[in-house]
Amino acid sequence: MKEFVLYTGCTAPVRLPAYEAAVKAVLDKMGIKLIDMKGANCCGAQYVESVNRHAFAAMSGRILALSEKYGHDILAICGACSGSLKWVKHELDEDWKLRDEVNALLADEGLEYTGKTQVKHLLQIFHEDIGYDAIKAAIVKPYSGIRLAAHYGCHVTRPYDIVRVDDPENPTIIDRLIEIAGGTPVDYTGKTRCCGGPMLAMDQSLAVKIGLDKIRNIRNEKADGIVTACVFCDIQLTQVQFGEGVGEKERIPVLTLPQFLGPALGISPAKLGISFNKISPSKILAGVMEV
Amino acid sequence: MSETAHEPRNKIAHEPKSTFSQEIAAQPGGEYIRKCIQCGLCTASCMVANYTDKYRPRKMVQKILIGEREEVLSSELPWLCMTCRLCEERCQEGVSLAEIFHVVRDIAAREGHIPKVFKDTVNLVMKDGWLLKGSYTDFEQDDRTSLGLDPDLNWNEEFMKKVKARYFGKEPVEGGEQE
Amino acid sequence: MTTEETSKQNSSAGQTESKVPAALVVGGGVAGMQAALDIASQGFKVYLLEQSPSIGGRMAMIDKTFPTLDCSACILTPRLSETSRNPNIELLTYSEVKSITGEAGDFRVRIRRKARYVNEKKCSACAECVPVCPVEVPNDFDQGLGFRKAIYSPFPQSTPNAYTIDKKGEPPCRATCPAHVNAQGFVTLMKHGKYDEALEIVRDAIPFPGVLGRVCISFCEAECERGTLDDSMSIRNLHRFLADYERENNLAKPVVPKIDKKERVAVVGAGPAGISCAYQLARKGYPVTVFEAKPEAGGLLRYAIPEYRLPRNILDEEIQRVVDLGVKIKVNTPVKSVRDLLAKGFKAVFVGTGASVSNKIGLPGEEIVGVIHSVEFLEKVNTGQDVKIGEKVAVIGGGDAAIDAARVAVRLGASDVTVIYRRSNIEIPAIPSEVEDAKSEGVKFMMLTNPIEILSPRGVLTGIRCVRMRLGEPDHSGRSRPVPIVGSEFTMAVNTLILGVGQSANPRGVQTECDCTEYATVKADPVTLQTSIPGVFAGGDVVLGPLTVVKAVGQGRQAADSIDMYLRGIPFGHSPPERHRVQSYEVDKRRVLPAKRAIMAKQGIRSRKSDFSEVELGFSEETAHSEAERCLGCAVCCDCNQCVKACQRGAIDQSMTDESAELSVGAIIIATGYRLFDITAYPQLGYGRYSNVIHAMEYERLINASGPTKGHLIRLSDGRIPESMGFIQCVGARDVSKDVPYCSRVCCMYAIKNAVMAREHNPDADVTIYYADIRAFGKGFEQFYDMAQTRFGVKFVRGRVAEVAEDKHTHNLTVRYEDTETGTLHDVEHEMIVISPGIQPPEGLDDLAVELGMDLAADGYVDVADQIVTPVDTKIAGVFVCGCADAPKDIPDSVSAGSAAAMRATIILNNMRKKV
Repeated sequence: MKEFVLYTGCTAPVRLPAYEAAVKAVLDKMGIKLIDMKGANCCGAQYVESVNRHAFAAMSGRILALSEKYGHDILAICGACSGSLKWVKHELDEDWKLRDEVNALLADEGLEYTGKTQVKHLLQIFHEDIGYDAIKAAIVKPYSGIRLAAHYGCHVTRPYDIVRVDDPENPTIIDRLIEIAGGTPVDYTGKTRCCGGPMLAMDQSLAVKIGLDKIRNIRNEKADGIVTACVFCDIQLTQVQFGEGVGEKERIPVLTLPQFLGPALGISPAKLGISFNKISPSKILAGVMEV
Repeated sequence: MSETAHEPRNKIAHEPKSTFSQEIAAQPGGEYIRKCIQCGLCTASCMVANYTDKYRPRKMVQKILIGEREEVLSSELPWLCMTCRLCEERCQEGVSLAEIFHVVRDIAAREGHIPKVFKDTVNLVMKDGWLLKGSYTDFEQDDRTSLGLDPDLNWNEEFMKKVKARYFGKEPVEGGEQE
Repeated sequence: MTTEETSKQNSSAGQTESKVPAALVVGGGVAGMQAALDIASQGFKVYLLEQSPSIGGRMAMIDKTFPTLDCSACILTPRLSETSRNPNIELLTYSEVKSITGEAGDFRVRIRRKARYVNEKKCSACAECVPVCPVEVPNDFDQGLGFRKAIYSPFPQSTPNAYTIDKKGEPPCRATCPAHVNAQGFVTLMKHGKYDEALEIVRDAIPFPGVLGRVCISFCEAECERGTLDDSMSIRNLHRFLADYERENNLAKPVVPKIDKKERVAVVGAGPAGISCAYQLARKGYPVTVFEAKPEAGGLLRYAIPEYRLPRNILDEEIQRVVDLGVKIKVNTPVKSVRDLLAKGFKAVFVGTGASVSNKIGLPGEEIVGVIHSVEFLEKVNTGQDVKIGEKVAVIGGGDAAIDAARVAVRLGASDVTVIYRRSNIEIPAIPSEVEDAKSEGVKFMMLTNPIEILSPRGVLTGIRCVRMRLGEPDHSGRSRPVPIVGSEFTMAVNTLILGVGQSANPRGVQTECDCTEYATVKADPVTLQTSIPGVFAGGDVVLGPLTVVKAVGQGRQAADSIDMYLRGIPFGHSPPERHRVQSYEVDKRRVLPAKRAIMAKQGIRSRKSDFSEVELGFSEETAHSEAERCLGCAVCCDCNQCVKACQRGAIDQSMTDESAELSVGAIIIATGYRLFDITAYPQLGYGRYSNVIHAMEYERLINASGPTKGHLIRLSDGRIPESMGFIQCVGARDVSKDVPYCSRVCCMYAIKNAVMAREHNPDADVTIYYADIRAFGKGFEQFYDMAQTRFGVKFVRGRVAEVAEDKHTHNLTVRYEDTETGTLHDVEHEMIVISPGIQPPEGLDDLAVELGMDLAADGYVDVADQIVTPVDTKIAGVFVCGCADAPKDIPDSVSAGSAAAMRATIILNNMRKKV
């Protein structure tokens, strides 16, 4: 049985616990064991990253070293975290001086980064560690007649040379999973564009405009829902639909990937935290189970 | 005839104002900034540029190349990049714009130019060890429990103190006001 | 490398024999032709080798040239003519370089001339063959935009002006069939409803389209390439349909015998092997007499295979056709000696007496009442004798005879029939569909079980004792040897025991006059089927041991060919040249939609168990047609020979083969041209996903009057004329992330030319080129760029396109770019987008480089010795390069390089001439 150390990041446990719960439920069903990382710290994405490169390396470096202590590879479910951890791993592998500097900071905790562990994002677990065939075989209640738009997230898929998850210009993993679960994946303009989440700090209205661009393009294709693979993307694409310009009836439900796959695998919505989703996905799940 | 009569009236500077582009190129991530041919592919790929006229990544790179160090470092524009990296994927000369802007931010922060929101967030992380301690209330704890998740999040606060001491001095991050 | 050095090198080559100074130019594009002409006009011989059927290269594909807007064909075709007429130039089209050895002044080049299957001298390119060819494939010359037939000419001015048949070899179905039935041939004709011609193709190989269409084991289907995608073709049922269709619609034309030879041939045994041999000999004109011991002809087809699988009228009719061809069948006439037959005046004998003696199981009690061997059982039933069987029947064995016996037992009223087989489901040799049908008729299968005792306390069968088996090590046949599991014995009550444990040749049969093996099968030469007695041939089960009908039919045909050559005194015995069997990767599977194999309708279980009427009911015409449509056409040309019939000059020769030749040359010039960068590497630009995004070469074919739309520039989505077009530059060039950092040199100019042509085609069209730089560097280029803007109104926007989006309803495209001159972002809609790909080293250049012992540059191009002073010399002495093989070039530069390379080559040739 494959095992991973789960790094949730700062935001998921507080703002999107349903995602965490759904990940655990689905991966458990598919035979992946997860160990919660205890005593973790923020990965430093976005903010410390912008302000001090070495401090950023130390923060993500500690997470990497912690996973070495656990003896397992890391599963990062947030796109920003997975991007940061992979980026810092790349830096520490290339720059010995930086690595020594970080290890010096970790020394008195008994931690060390030697480069042993790999960092994987949730999409890689589905694609590489579980495999489409196993997922197909485990589907018990396929969807039918549901059109879904996949949103991958920038930090999940780029920069390709470092993260190596999927084709950055034409990603397909979520779309294939939608298909396997019986849904119809929908192509839309600007599929690889950013959700706008990172702009919230500096200019909220600009961030909303960018997010609504995506929602508009998705609505154009008459999708019934959006499937995400990153904490921030999920929160952002949900939140922008609560501002001006989107009527209540027009809101498109946003589901994290494991919340989408779970019902098709026979997992109850309660375990997936479906009731926590701000825009109810009841229409999507109607064919699959009672919500 | 005196020599001064032959001197050109307005001295035109043909070199960049400063060695700012070299300074950027010397940092990891900034290596290929001088390969930029100003083709505009990055700006055309940029969602920020799409929704706000003031932001043009190509122009920012241009400013760096012609050496407008003060203007770039004191501007809020480099802090608007969302690091979505579509520009980097598509740039045919290998210019890593998001990384270049990271380098600019790094230098800018050191010289005291940092937007308030960034400053405040960094200080918060230094203090708590993670970002949302203040937002984690009973309600959120109950939510987690009802989902079968451990309400004790187990964050480590000690390490960030070391990071702060090592990289940011004893005081929280200072900075000029950038709104 | 200076001139002196070159001659020093040549003089050290040490030529002792006199050699004709000749050069080889690899590549028949404009550069290659130039080089060839310049060498030839100095009096030297040149071989101009080209891998496609015609010289002309890329210039034959494009419409106009830059910067003059000359018609490309008008400039090119006089060259084609000159090249083909020059007495010193030998055109080797449709050919490939196989190996190169030697050195400057003395190269040995082995080449392969691919078979065109058309005689270049006889073909007048009248194209009468094209309408009758049933095979259509995407037209590569038209960049896949249109279709062409298997017999084709790339463009109207093809040189040599002869058609070519694209035949990849032998398709897997035909290669696998022991009787070499041309399955792809008849299936392809069926796609067009040409059932008569299709049936003719089947009848060329076998006399039994209906019989084999019901009983053949179909080796072909196991190898069918369609099976690698979804399901294999239902080939057997398709030729059954052809036979049934002819019968049901009374379309059979009377058979006209043409016996015009004197040598009489005797065939012993009227089974499938014998009938097949007689059939083929009669078609060749020989008078044949078939001697059959039994009361009727057909062999095991009649006496073993039950009627519900093979209705007797089908068998009778197909045998009658053979008789109508002039074959005499003498039934009730056993033959005691083949030597007697030869003495009686037959000039040759074919022995096809089969192997129908049942093997004994070797258990005591095998002779008692209630125990019968399957072949005897089936023969009794098939001859209408009254056979009594009990309620509980056990059949021992796993071959077709055992399954047939079990299913017959069901029809005779047994309520409990069990097949007992000592190996497992994987090893059971019977046809899988027969096993399935037996199971649905209620026959039980007991695998890994073997009888060890026949129980008959009062001399009558009461039951059997069996033991369970497990699979152990393989035996002499390669199959796992079953091993009894000790202590697993059990008893089973049965009234009738049918033993189907295999057959053997009759150890006292007439074939034993020849040398035989220990199994009483004839030792016959595997190629000629000649036995130890001169003039006596053998085939079928009597040689192979009990096998399959189709193998017997195949050997009958093989023997007929041997007998024919023997009687004509032609030496025989060499294996025919191996035809290349089409490999899986050679079959174009790109555009295949999934489609399941047609299901054969069968009689209901209850009705079929009650009598011996045919179980499988055959395909309807609609089903047969849609099944035939699934054929992938592996070999492309299906050998249906419709073109041969249509050609009035007899120019088509399907028996041609690839030929090898060795050229002796003093110098080699590489002029292999280029290929386009694969722009699907830029998914954000939509090529391959959006129908109205095309690349420049597709555009050239659209505006070319000899292209797929006859020169009408139209959208691929709806055929409308585009009112607004966008050209995207620097795709697959000047891109470090795709490993093509260099500029492709020609794209700016060809795009301007294309944009100008767009305005010429439609003066109201809005045409825009999106660029980072316009490289108009040559003489006349700047003026052309200027003229494009002023006179032709082409718009130029300085801003590279980031992405292309499609409107799903109109299929219009929206490009997103930043106008770098104003700093504004735009989304602009166009009706067609043309991407200008960078050009790349051609496919196959790396293979050629290996043969030359030459290292290519890191970017895959030929590395020149010195870019400044010897720009057409490679690093190998005596090998030169021109055209785009060493770097992107436009036409004038390619032509100059061609002349330069010719010059460098003739220095060597001149020195060779001086020596001679």
